[in-house]
Amino acid sequence: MATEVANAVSNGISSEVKSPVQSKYSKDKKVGEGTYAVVYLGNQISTKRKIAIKEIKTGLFKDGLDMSAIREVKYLQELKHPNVIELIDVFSTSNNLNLVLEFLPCDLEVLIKDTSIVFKSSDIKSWLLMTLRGVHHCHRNFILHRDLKPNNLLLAPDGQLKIADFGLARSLGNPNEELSSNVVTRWYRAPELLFGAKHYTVAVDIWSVGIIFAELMLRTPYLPGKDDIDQLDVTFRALGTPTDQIWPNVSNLPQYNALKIYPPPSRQELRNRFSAATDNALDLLILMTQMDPSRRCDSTQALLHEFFTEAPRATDPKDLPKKKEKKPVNEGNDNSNAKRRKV
Amino acid sequence: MSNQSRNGDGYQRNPSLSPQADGVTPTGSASSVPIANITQIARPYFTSSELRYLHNKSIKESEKLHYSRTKHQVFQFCFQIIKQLKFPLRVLSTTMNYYQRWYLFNKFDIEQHDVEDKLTLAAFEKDPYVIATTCLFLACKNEDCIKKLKDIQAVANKIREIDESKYTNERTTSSILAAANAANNNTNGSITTAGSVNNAAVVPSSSSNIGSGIGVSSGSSSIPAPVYYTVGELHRKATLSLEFKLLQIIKFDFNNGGSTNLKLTTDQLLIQFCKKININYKFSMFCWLVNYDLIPTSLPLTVPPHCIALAIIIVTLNLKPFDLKIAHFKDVNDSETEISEKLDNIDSEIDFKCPEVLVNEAIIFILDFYIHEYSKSLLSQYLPLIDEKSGKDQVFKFMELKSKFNDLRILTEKSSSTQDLLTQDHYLNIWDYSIAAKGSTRFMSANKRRKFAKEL
Repeated sequence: MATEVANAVSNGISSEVKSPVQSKYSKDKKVGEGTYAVVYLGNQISTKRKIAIKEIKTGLFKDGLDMSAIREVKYLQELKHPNVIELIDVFSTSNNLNLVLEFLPCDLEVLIKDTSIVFKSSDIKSWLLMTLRGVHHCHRNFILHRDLKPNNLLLAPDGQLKIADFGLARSLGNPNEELSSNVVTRWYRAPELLFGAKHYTVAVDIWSVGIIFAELMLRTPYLPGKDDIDQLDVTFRALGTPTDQIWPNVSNLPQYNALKIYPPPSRQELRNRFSAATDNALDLLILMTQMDPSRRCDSTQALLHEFFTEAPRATDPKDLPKKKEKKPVNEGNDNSNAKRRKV
Repeated sequence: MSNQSRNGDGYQRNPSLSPQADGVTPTGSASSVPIANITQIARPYFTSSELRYLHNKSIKESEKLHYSRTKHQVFQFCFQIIKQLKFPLRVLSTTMNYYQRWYLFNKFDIEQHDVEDKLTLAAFEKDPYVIATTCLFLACKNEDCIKKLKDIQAVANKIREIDESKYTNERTTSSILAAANAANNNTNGSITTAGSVNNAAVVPSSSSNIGSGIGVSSGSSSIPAPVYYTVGELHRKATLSLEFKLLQIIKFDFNNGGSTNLKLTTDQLLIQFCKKININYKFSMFCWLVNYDLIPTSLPLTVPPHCIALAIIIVTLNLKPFDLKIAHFKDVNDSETEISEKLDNIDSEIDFKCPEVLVNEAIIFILDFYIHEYSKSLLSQYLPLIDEKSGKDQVFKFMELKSKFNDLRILTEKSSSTQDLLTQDHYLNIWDYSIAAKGSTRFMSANKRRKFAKEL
């Protein structure tokens, strides 16, 4: 990591240290525990910067170091961008691996659910813009995130949105390699994944961003399927069932069978659903939620879309709405988040 | 960053806090005990003198031959596993990279590695095959080819013809496991009672010579029999403990020094380069074979993959292997002029971002490799014994080419040019796992890639 100063090896003699935690960071309180990690809040002693320490249990499980921990280290080490969570440090103590991450007190899901907060259209634009910038950075480094959803979009105290949780990320490898289609939280899963495609591209992330965009406008999940079968139904009811005409060869995908054919929504229907959206906003949404992944826009096209240049201007991150009262934080604790999501 | 340390890649330790110092000063109050603190920066590539130096430390002179023979067997063994599990070749490359890296910082200890004789955890952790399976296990996680350890282990042990259900000399500590084991024993017992007496299956059969009677008591139904791990269980235990050690050896650097977009392995890059330079099928195939031969060598520890790939292509175009035996595909041979044109047009720095020196280093390595090991290589199986044109052994082609390349500028690193400098580099010590246990180790990715990527 080209992040911190390596020379800052502290003198190590710290009176308050009880466990062999590196004296550069303090572990103040435990904020969550998942199956493979415990998350603590703390401070970087030298800068007083707030940080989160993800302590990964190793060797306790039958398959050793968890895949998601490997992915998190592997990809976050390489990515440094204002809209991607920063991995500050990696160190090991006795039998644990510790990841020191930027501390981010809030996530987008919390704000969406807080009905006391009003979203202006410029706020939505600002969040979407930051998300797309982060996604663009991942994609230009050939990394698929594969789990974009509001509660993985964390918010820094200065309003910056940061993409977190790279536990499912992977690099785009050989084109002939098979990828697992069992990725992305169900409501944000692109149709090619629902159909069980073994080959897919960055377009799966774009789909998720599109659905998040819709959720920001609606303030409620756009495609909340109850299970994997229902997800297909909910998705196509809203956006039309794909056929071989609009998506060549879609019917060859493994899970494409016994589908109820819904017509694609008319522009007017979408306009009714997203009453506050401008024409440009609708255009962008339609581009990002194209059924055929090859027709979906990529992050560059999305970022250059007119939606971002038309008035109103995207809100400055520091002026974005924030969560008012202090609530326990769930930074990086994917598991509890995942459960909360399902309830 | 870290420029205070010699070489610019840091091995730093505050001398007063070194773990050794910890050991000799057992001060009374626990709270004031200084915590050892080490920063380890990943070094994905070493110079050949560094490798020699490390090997001198980790492998006894008398065992050098044994080491390379074992490495070759391990390579075949891993290849079998990968073939059976249908993993891509890059998993094999990563596995062999990890395996070789392991023996840079860990002693090659063959005294005890005979599993059949000594079925203990300590022996397992020294067994090159167990280490190789661990490398493979981590490699497939890192390469996103996920398989359960259980499955990998099953394939590995089947290839080695090891019975996983056999009992070892290592006693279990976990009560759950013990209970499970006991249940196992009971069923075993009930089956064997019909036959003979002594096969109560508590003690491994081979232990009779060493076990010296620990629980050899036969049908001791009244006293709770001591329970032992089975080979499978112990293998798993060893793998998990080795995995954490291996992670420290690779310094938690999952990108092997490259950035994620550079992380492509040689075989992937080779295909792309061949396409770009418009190399025909036969020559591409030759490149591929050379690449396969290079996987178990130390070249991937010295030179990054893109430079290796380019070096392979340059060697191939120079050798012009028209006589490569491939049955399944026929294409038109390029003329000599076309080939030399292609060769002349390769600009390693601009088109391929490969520093000349590193490519040269790889070229020399490849030629040396074939000059010495041609008969054992995969390539030799695809070429006729005698070269048609010269009427000589194929090896002479490599020798001839090497003499042509005699004046190539290759890698010289001032930082590792003398023995003195090497001994000063604390990074090049056998890795002490207890440091992380006593204090903490901080891991950072390397900046060594400056060596081949100027823009970083």
